[in-house]
Amino acid sequence: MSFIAIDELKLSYGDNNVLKNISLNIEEGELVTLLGPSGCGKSTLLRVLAGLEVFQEGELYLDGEEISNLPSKDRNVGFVFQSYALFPNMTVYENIAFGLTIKKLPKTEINQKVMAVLRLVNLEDKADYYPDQLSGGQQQRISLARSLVTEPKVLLLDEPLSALDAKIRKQLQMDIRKLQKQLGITMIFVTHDQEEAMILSDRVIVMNEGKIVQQATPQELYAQPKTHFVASFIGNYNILTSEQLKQLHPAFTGKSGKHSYAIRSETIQIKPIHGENVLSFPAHLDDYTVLGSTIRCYYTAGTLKLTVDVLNSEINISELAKTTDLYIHHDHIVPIDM
Amino acid sequence: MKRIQWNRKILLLIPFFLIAAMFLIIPMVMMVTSSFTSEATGAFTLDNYKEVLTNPFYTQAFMNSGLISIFSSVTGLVLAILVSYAMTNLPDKVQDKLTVYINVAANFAGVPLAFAFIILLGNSGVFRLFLDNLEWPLLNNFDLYSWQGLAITYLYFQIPLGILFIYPSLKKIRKEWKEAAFMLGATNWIYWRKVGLPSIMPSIAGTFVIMFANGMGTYETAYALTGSNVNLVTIRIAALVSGDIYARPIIGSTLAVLFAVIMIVILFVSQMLLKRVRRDLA
Amino acid sequence: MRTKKRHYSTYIIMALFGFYMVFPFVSTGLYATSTEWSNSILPRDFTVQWFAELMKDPAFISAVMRSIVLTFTTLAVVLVIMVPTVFIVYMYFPRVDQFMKGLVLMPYAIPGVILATGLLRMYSGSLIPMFAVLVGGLFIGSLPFMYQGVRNSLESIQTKNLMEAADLLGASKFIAFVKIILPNIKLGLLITTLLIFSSFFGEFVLTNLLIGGNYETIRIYMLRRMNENGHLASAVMVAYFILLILISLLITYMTSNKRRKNLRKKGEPLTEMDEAEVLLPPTEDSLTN
Ligand SMILES: Nc1ncnc2c1ncn2[C@@H]1O[C@H](COP(=O)(O)OP(=O)(O)OP(=O)(O)O)[C@@H](O)[C@H]1O
Ligand SMILES: [Mg+2]
Repeated sequence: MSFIAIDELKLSYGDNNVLKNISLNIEEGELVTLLGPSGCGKSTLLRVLAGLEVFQEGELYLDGEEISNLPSKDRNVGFVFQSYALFPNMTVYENIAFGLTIKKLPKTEINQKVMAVLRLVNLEDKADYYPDQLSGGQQQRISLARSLVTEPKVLLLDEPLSALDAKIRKQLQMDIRKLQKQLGITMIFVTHDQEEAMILSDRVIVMNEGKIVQQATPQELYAQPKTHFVASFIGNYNILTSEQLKQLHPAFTGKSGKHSYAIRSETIQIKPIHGENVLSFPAHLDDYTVLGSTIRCYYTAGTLKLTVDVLNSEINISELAKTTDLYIHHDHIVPIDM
Repeated sequence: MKRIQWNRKILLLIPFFLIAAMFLIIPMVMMVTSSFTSEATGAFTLDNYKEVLTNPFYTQAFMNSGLISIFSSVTGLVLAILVSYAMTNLPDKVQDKLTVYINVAANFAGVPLAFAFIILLGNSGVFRLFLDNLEWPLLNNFDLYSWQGLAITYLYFQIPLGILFIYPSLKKIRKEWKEAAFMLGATNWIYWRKVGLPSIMPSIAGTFVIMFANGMGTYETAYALTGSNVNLVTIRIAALVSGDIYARPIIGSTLAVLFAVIMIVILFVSQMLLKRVRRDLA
Repeated sequence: MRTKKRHYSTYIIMALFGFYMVFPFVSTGLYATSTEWSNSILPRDFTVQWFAELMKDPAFISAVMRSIVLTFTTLAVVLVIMVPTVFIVYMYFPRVDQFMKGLVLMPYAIPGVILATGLLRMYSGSLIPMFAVLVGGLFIGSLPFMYQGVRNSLESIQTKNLMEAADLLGASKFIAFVKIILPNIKLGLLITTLLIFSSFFGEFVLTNLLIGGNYETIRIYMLRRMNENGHLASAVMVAYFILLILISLLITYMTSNKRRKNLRKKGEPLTEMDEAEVLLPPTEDSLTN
């Protein structure tokens, strides 16, 4: 059995079915992200694992043990809240030591562990500060340290970085990933930011409306979205039906049973591709925006609108022609479920 | 947790519910039952209510209390709105400080308040003598120990009470008003008629009900000022339940029950209406 | 600019209102410090003889003592019972919490006189001492205020979040309450306590109706002296108000401290919480009318 196993979990608030039959396995040492739009039940799932939420049906296993009826305090699960939830009346040191004092560890050992974990998050000099004397990023690092110091079996993080500004966020993403690898700890990380999920995780679990719609490595997810929802949520895909594709290129024959296709915008080329299995068709450039390293171009082909990302280094903006041919390799046309 | 187990924490609420039962619920129930008990025989009867509702002395007490409360709450409300509005124009720091002192003033009720007014406006009050010296007949028809005096005195704690409720809601819309005015260039008057007034109307209505109820329930101030001169419900009840000579606790309970029922109905209906209004506005 | 123009009338209104509000205080103060005051705008002399007389009156001293005993006994009972109760209800019984919010209106439906009627009905002539009944009655009277006060404090520190965090670190609910929640609501609790303190200290209605002349507290003493010697009674009131003002100053001082701390943290004033605090007091003042 997997280190964490969730089996046919169902949870509802009155008539509102928030989690619909969730089954999920997570291995020891894995970093998994739960990704999905607001209100899809990510936090709820995480809180169920932590024992903070009551559910109706299903089973939960952690390290081989059924934990459904175990109270939070006995689960040995760490939790990092979006709002940090540091104890305002305690110093950084006291906050981190809290879990260890509860376990009645000897003072010297507590001291050792607290200082070690403070070193780990790079905040040794802030031991005597109170939480409100620290920046948001520092507070979240303390919160992380407080959860890590009790050596939980799994660390659950509920959008820990969403209250922080972009730069600190990037930095902390790297820090968390590094820490996780270094300590080999199992983590479940909730986010609604697909980029964050891609950067961090071994495996991404995409959720929508209380269901898991796809689980895959970041690379797989990016290259092979399984459904319309995933494709549109993950980002820059053009989603077309087989009829629309036939309009572009009458010779196109779809795979049987599939009616929709996702085409990543950077796989559409404005320079000819040679070889077999290439679709090509004329298109008209409506507009473009420079995103930095890429230029996002908006084309119309027949009645269809297409988004195409072109590398900035590959082309000079002034060379972008008003009318041009576009090329797509068959391999980049990914069949998806609606 | 899979199932919510029977919550044992409810046991910790026992002391609280015990006290609530002993000093609120059971006494209230006993008050109600005794209002249906015959003074002479101890049997069930409606006579107490018949007596209270037909005796002009008691119905007049309700009338008097009602009139004073309405006067003091309407006047108090108008003045409270005026002052609250003026307050929103003051610098923020001053506003914060003021609310604390207004709270103190709202607490200046009862014996000290009555006495302060006696010093000023009583039969040999300083202000009255002063006006007499100037031969201004301003206060000649004014009797502090009558319902006029009570109304003036009530105003003193009703205004601050009104401000404590009105000011926050006024302050909230003031902010929006500034933005709206900048954006649309709407005139002050149009704004108030179309947006301002409708949006504070519920809070004004709610405040009025609370001020009215507050006036109805006032006892200490009235007692200290007029003793039993003015026939008010609260004074009547107190005299009936604790007076040595005229004590008729059962009739007192009957009046008390009537009072509580009237107040509960008023509060309940007004809350329902307010909820309705709020929903309509939203 | 619109606002500039309006300031003129603003200050007139505020001045008139301020004058009206301060007038009784000032006149009581002047009355307390003069031997004789009539026919003139201001009294002709200044004296502290009434205060001296007051201090020599054993009845005054014992009235103060009685008020203090009553206040602290009741306060202790209220705090010991209400703080855990509100906490438990807020955390674990949302339905009860919803119901308790309606309590705020209770003093208006059941003012002191009505409550006293019920209490007398039940306890007069019973074995339970009237002092205990009085404590119980005051407890009930302070309920709405106490409930709101403690609840607001709990809400402002995000109690639910902190309890979850403590829970996941292995702490029992009791430890979490004592070590985390209590220290963090200390300040809010203190403010609520002080406000209730002042309302208990000046209590009249229940005391007078339930025990009356047998237990002369400061307000009952005040009323008795009022009919004997006005100047002396004024002195009692001045002494009483000095105490209340000291308490208010303490509250202002503490709230501004708290605000400063929050400003540092969030970078903007906590308007919503401030309003909640402003809204609180009215429930309490109906206790004293
Ligand atoms: N205590 C509750 N009572 C009733 N409904 C709830 C409760 N908590 C959550 N919900 C509902 O459950 C659904 C899932 O909520 P959840 O917080 O898990 O979403 P989420 O995926 O974490 O969203 P976000 O990204 O906004 O945090 C929502 O529709 C929400 O309204
Ligand atoms: Mg969430």
